[in-house]
Amino acid sequence: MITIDLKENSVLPGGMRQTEVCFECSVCALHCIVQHVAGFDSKNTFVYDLFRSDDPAVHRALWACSSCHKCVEVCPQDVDPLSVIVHLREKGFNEGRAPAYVYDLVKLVLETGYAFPITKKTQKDREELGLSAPDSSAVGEIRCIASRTGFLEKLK
Amino acid sequence: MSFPMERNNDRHTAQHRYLLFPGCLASIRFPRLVYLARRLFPELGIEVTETESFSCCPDPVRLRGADRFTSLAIAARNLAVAGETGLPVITLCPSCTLTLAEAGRELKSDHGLLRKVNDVLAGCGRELSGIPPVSHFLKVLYESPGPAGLRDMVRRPLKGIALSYHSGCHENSPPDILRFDNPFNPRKNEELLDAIGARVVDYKEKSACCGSPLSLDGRMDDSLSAVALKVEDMRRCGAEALVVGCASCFQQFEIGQVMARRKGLLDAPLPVFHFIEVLALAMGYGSEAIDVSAHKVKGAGTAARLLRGEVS
Repeated sequence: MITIDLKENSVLPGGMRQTEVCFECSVCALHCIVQHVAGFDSKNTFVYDLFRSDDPAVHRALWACSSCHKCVEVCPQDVDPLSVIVHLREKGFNEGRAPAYVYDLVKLVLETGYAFPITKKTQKDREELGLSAPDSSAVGEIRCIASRTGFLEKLK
Repeated sequence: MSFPMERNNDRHTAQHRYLLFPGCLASIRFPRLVYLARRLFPELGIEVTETESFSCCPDPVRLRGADRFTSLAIAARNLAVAGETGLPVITLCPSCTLTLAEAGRELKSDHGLLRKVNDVLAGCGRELSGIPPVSHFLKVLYESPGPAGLRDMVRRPLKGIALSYHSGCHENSPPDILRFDNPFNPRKNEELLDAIGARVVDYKEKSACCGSPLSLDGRMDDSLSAVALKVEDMRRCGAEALVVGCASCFQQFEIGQVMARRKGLLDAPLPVFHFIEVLALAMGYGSEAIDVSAHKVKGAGTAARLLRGEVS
C-alpha cells in the first residue's frame, strides 16, 4: 500500500498526488544509486520504501539521492519521484530534521560562497599555479538574498 | 522583461567567447583543472573570460533540498552576473550546469516567478534581465571543434590507450534541460576520447552513478561498492584507465578506489583522469597536465606513463 499521499494528513501538496498512480513496476530502481543502500531490492525499491514510509521527510535515504532524474525519465506512470524527494527534503529541513551535514553545508556556502572548505592546501595549490586566492566577494550578496527570502531566519 | 540572449543564443555570435564558471570543487580542491581550462580552451577556439563575482551554483542536492526558492534566487544571481557580460557560460562541472540551466529554464517559462526572484535580487543590487545559455565544457567541445575538428587539432594522440568514460549524473540528465546525449547510453564524450587518440572501451554499467552522493550521505560501504562495481566492469572489458568529466566523480573514483582496496572490496584499481587532463596531454602538455597529488591510483604501463605526462 502506498501511504504517502493517501493518508488524510498527506505530507505532499495537492499537486503531487501523482504518487498514487505508482504500480510498483521497479523500473525506477534500474538506474538508481540509492538502490545500493542496504535493504532495498526490486520488490522494495528506494522509491516504494519512501512512498510507504510513515514519516517520509526523515526517510533514511532521502538525502542520498543525487537528483540524477533517471527515475523520472524511465517511469512509465509519470510519477516523478524526484519532485516528491525534493519536496520532502525541504519539509524535513524546515522542521530541523534534515541530517546535520546538510545544515553545515548550507552554512558553509552562506559564509564562504563555496560548498567546500578553503584550506591551506587550496591556497598553496592555487598560488603555485598562479591563480588568485578563492574570492568570497559574492558572500554579501548571497547572504542578502538568503535574508530577503527568510532563509537566514530559518537557519537560526 | 526581455531576454536578448534567449532570442539570439547562438554561441557563435560571441565568436566562441564564454564566461567560465569553474565551480566549487575545481576551484577549491582541483585548481589545476581551472589552470588547464584557462590555457587549453583558447587553443581549441574557446576564449574564456572570468569573473570573481560567482558564488556556489548552488549545490543541486543539499541547497536545493533545503530551500528551493533561495536556491533558485542564488542561481538567478549567478545568471545575472553572467548576463551582465553578454557571454554564454561554460562550466567545468555537470552539476553546476544543471543547477544554472534548470534555473534559467524555470525563470524563462514563469514570468511571475522571475518577477518574484527579481524582487529579491533588486534588494541586493542585481537584476536578471537576460538569461544566458549554460553548457558543460564537453558539450561545447562536442559542438565546436567537434570530434573531427578536435582530431585535427591534437598534437600528440594518445596512441590507442584503452579508456572507459564514466558519465556523471548531471552530464546528460535531465535530457530536456541539458540537451546533449542519451543519459542511458551516452556516446558523445567517447567520440571525443576517440578523437584524441584513445581506444574507447565500452562496458555494461555505463549509466551507473559513481556513488559520490552515498559517501556525502555518510554511507561509505555502499558508496565503495558502487565504485567497485563500475571499476571492475571497466577492467573486465579491457580498460587501462577511466576518464571523467566531473570533479566530484574524479574525487569519488580516486579516494573511493583507495578505500575500497583497503576494505577488500576491489582488487585492481584503475587510474583516473579528468577529461581536461587527457585533453591537455593530447594537446602536447607534459607533466604540468597532471596534478600528481590528486592521483592516488598510479596504475601500470601506458596509464602510469600518462600520469607522468608521457604520451609516447
